[in-house]
Amino acid sequence: MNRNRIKRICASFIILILLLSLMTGCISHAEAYHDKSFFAMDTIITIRVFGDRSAKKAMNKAIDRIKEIEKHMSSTYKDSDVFKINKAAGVEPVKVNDDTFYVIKKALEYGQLSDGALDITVRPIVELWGITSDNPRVPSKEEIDEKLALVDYRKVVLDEENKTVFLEEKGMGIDLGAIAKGYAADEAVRILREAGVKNALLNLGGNVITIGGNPDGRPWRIGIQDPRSHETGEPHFAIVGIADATVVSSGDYERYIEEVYEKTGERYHHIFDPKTGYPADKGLIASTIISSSSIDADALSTILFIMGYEEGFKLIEKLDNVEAIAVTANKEVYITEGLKGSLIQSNDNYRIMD
Amino acid sequence: MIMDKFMKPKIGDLFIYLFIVVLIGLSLLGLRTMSIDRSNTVVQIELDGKVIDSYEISQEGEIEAQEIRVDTGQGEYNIVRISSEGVSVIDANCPDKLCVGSPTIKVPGQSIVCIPHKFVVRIIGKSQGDNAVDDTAS
Repeated sequence: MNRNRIKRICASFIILILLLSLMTGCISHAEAYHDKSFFAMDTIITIRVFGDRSAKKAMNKAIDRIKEIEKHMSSTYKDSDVFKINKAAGVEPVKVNDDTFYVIKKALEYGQLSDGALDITVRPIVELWGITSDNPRVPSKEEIDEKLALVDYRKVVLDEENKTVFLEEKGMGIDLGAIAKGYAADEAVRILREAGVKNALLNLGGNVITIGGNPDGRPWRIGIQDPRSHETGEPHFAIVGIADATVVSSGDYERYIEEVYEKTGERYHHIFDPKTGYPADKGLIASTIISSSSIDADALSTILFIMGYEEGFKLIEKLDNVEAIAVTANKEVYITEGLKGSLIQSNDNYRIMD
Repeated sequence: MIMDKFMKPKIGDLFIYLFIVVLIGLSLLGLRTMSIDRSNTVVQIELDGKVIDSYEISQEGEIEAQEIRVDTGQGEYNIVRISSEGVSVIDANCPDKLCVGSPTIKVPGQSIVCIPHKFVVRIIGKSQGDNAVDDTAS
């Protein structure tokens, strides 16, 4: 065989290999990712994982896990633990799944820490107002007082050994809405990490959870919802850069009785103060928690919103690795020490205070 | 000498050259698709996690306003309005009407959701500028 011909074939193959590597280089530069949006836990959930097929497999496993948690903790599914606990209130203890037991236990710990600002037994009040139902209304003071008598997290009895939950009085009810999404997020993150996923971005109905940073090497840039987006026309008022952390916000802007608001300007929103039976009114319109655990962030953002800036910050500054943002009705933004210098203001309708 | 050999290619060589040309073409095509993904903004409508419609919009200049009625097939609907001001849901027959009350969305990454109808309208594209974000906590 002609030696030159062999050389030529070799040269051609080298070019071919170069071209192939150019193509794959191009693809990996675009950062291959898999994502999925689905409806669960009364909200929309989006998961985006970066990586190959094993990352996609892990994503699907995480989705199944979230749906499993929903099945136990939804208050509308007839065979969920929460439904059974509420039905057996004042009658008998109910044996529950380990997940449910853990979440309720954690919620009660937060009830104690916040001196009842976070109270999962606030359900009778939530139902009375019906903010999330078709017919929300402002109840009378008498009606509220009557239901308030049923609100007390200390009347939830846990039996660690038999994994049972008992509500001491008939008419009591629990709702894990303020904390279950946080737990589901932590579980999803655990599954993804165990499968070796290095970068991921999850959003559970507005709760943002991240693994690693952005694959481009920078932290994830997460906007904090502008609570008065309707007035300002801006999507967010601040941006925070995070990696391996979660950002959870609460506020009066998500759900409120619109008819009353239009008539009187009074915003009866969906976050109730378990002590008064009225929507929380300690001067805040939005609160945000940044931390590593999503169940903690979920609980603490509600607690901060209900307690208000002064009391809430006193509590949060005692905790490790938890940062917070509080927005007052006159658009002043208070932030914890750890965020000073790193929070980026993204619209000038708000004033970040020192 | 090499030039001389190139003048008289053998049939096997021709196949290889053809293959290389096709490869170059393919990789150029790949580059082109990727650059499109980066520069264009798309309004995407989803029902129950599936994309049912998408509208490419330009980020500069005026957009002709259009209203899109989205039916779920079970008598439920949401009406989306796309215009220069942004994207909003202007009517729906869901019980809570949260989607109709949602602020107008304008930049990639934003979305309006109607949970009862499992409906989402979102803006997709590369978010640009100082205020670009990967996601928003709400």
